[in-house]
Amino acid sequence: MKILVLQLARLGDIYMTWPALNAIKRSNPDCELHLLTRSKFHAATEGLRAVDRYIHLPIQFLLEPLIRPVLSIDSSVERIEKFIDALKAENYDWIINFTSSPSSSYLTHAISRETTKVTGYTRHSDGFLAIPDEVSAYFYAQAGVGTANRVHLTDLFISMLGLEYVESDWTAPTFASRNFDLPSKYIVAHIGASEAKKTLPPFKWARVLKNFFDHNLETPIVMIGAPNERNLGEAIEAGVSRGKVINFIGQTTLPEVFSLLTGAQMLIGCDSAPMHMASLTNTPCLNLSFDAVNFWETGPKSTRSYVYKVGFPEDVISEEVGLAMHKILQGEDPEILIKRSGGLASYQLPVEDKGELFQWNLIKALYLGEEFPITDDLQFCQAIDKLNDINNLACDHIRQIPDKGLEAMAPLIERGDEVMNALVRVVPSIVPFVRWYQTEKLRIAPGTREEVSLRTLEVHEKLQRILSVYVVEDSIKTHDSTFKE
Amino acid sequence: MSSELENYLTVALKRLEKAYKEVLKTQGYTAEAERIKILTEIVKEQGNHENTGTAAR
Repeated sequence: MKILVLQLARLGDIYMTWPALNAIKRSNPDCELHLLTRSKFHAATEGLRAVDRYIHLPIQFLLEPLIRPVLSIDSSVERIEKFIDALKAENYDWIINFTSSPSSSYLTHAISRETTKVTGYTRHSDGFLAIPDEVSAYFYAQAGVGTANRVHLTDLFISMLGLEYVESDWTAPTFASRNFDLPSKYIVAHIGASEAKKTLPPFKWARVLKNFFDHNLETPIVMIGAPNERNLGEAIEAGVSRGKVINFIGQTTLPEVFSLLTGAQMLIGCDSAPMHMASLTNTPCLNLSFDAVNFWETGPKSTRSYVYKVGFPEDVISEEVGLAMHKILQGEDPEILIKRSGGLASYQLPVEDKGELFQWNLIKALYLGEEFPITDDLQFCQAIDKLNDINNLACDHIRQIPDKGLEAMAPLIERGDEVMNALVRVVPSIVPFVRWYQTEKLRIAPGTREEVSLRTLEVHEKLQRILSVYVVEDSIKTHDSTFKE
Repeated sequence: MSSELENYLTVALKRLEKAYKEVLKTQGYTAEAERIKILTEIVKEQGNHENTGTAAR
């Protein structure tokens, strides 16, 4: 069996894919496993043994004819055509797209043949987005920053494969290491991130480290980061007057980061590659997380890890973080932190937000068959009633298509969808229902008018059944009003 | 990303989108249309929009 995995996102996403790649190879030891990544992030595949062939998407080469005073679309099209044809000639039995981007979905479709099994985003023959598997449909509908999803990306990946992880899937590579001349105990601090809004400014980092040293002068901090973050490192060093700070920023390769993490007591950092590398070395992490990311999806997976979550970097209270670092090293559980735990959701909150918990429970009911949560939220119930009315009307309109024609009914059906979108903006707690519905409609494949109408009606009827859990029957409404009189 | 590169990509994006519409109009959604679409999406993902890890709708 020949399998192609696409992971066209960044370094951290590639490291998050390692356990799934290991699981594929473990479950299919005779398979030939190929991995497509962007050339720029190829370094994140070093040490990955499960993969038999690495393929790079040569973005610079593909776009070069377009970045000229006289651009040539034909040249770029010729280059992408050759690239696609070479991959199509591999005749993959299974293509797994772990990237959720438009380009990856078009590439997946272009490379696959009629007999290829496809998992993840691809395209229908008419170019519209196709989502063949249920887990990817869940991801499309419910995952992302600002959503109620609590399933980690690594767990979504393994679910897409229909497999389960074993411990050996989470193994870090070993490299012949350079001698860092470090003491036996140290903390690694990754001070950078792919975007500024995901990390702390230097003065905040300095205060965090200073506050840590107020509790613990013995354990040095080893700073790591990219070469272009050297200035940040120097600014942080200048702001720390006590304790030992060792500055390795811009001086480590990714294999060397693995070695550093293996020997570290802890990693502190934001959502970035070292955090996901630490999941493989099982180094305890303190993840500084902000609203720009969804820590449930991309937080640390190593045991004895924690998440410090605030809205923005400027909201970080340095004293809290410094003390938390010290407590974690002492083997204590800092109460203010979100704790790594087992289960479907990888973390345990110190205090639950009622609204967020309700949404998560709704999602589990929709997708996992768990019980729908009880609510006394009148606004939610009224919105569900309204949604139910819109949906019932849509069903009626679709049933009338054979008599009145699609041209007459389509604008009415579309209007119903618009009203649903407006309702979600007013009552966000119904988002899981509407996103489920929108995704299922999107998944309807191209076909004859009758086929598409039938599939669409099926989605609406399923939504009726789902909403019925919360819809107050008309007879009960009448009884209630009579009782009040 | 340099502003010069960003300018080239902006121009390239407009031309690609125009070419895509033209192919759709004359040939429908063909393999050529798909290639142009792939290039269009790759261009969009460059620079500030490089993070392809988040869901694209």
